[in-house]
Amino acid sequence: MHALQPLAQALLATLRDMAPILATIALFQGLVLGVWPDDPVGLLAGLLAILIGLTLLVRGLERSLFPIGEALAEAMARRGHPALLMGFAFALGFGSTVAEPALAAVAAQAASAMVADPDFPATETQLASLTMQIRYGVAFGLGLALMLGVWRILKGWPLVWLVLPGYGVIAMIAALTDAPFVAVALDLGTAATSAINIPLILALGIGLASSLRSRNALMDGFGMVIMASLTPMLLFLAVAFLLVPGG
Amino acid sequence: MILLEAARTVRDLSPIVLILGLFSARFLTRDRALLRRVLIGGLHLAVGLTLIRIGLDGALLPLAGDLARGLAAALVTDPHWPQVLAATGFAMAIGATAALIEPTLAAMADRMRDLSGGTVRPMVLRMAVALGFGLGLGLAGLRLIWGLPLAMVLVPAVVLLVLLAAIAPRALVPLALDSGAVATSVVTVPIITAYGVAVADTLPGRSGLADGFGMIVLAMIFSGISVLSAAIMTERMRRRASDARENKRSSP
Repeated sequence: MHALQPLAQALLATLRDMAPILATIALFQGLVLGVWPDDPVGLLAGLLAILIGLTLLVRGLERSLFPIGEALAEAMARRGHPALLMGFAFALGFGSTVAEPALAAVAAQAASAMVADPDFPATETQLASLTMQIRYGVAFGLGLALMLGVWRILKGWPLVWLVLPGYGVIAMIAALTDAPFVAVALDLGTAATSAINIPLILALGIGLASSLRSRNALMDGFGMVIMASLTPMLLFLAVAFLLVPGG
Repeated sequence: MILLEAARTVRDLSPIVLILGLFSARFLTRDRALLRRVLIGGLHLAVGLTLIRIGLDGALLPLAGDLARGLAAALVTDPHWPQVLAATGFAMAIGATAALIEPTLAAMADRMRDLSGGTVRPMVLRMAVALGFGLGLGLAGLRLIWGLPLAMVLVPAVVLLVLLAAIAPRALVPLALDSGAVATSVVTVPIITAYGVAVADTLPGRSGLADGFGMIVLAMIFSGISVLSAAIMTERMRRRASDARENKRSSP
């Protein structure tokens, strides 16, 4: 029984976290729409799967991706070779993103939206290859972002120098054109960082910053996740502008 | 269905497992305890991810999508402010509450507590993110319903973010900027997409494919805004508290 106690506590904590979203759905179902779901057993089973899944995933992230990522970042920093660190950062970014499930879903959606857009003439048969191109392109952008992020930590540049101009360019592009691909690009970049790559990116930053004596884990270790979101956005927008004639 | 989802998880995880395995074999010294911990943790991760997907696809996403569709349909038949309020209110509520269950954010918040030496409380960080997430999704829902251009919400939000980043306590700015990107992840993104597609498909003259985009990025930016504001406020409160203590000490 003792072994099960922490698990039971973790499940209870997850249930507490889930209570607001369950209350929200019940409230809008019952009060606003006045309808009830027709398959309560299946629904309950699904919610139970989420409850157990969330508990296991948080534990899994804390015990697998965080420690292995930090251990690797520290080992690379000890070797002291910037080229090795950059290669590792690129491999980590590309490899953890190319199969990121949340990105795959949004990429498929983005490809369909682009086919519907007259600016990007593409047939339905090209849809699958377009989806793959988007996924590889975003993963490449993420690899670049992590290389830049590692370089920033090594140099000790303040994060705002990189992130705020990036945001500025994005806001400017959004103000200049209302083409649908802008919204697609922004959502793609945001969806590119998800459950697998975020813990690894955080671990890379924290591990690297805490193994360099003059860097602070809090100030220098964080910031790579937002860079990993913004870089694919900017890359995608740049490619879109090159593809659209006179765009 | 469980087997199919499990197979998908294995396929999604295999490239990164390969890369981590290769680098670990080459650069890490043999550490059996670490290896065991990471393997057990990896198993938790794979099973957890599979279960979350089954639950999302089987219960939460259809539920949220049907609700959003119902609210949007009510808006089409009676386009007045109570219906607008209900549809955007649902976007706000589902966004804020989904951020609270986002496992990526929960794991980061726990890691934060150790790094900041306890000054950043995990639940405070998650609440701040959830608040911004709800606000961002509410505005994104309003934009979708009224058919406003993305720039009308995005540009003021970015200006606000830049201003807040300039005056926020510098040590917390990277964390604040990261937290929005961390919060848009495995649970929140599918829920946002389900809402956006359902509403855009129901409203006349919108297409779920083209008009549903632009919601995720707003949720991210407003989470950053919210965490920066929370950092500024806690810093002010802390300073005022320490000033009060100083005054008490200096006055006889």
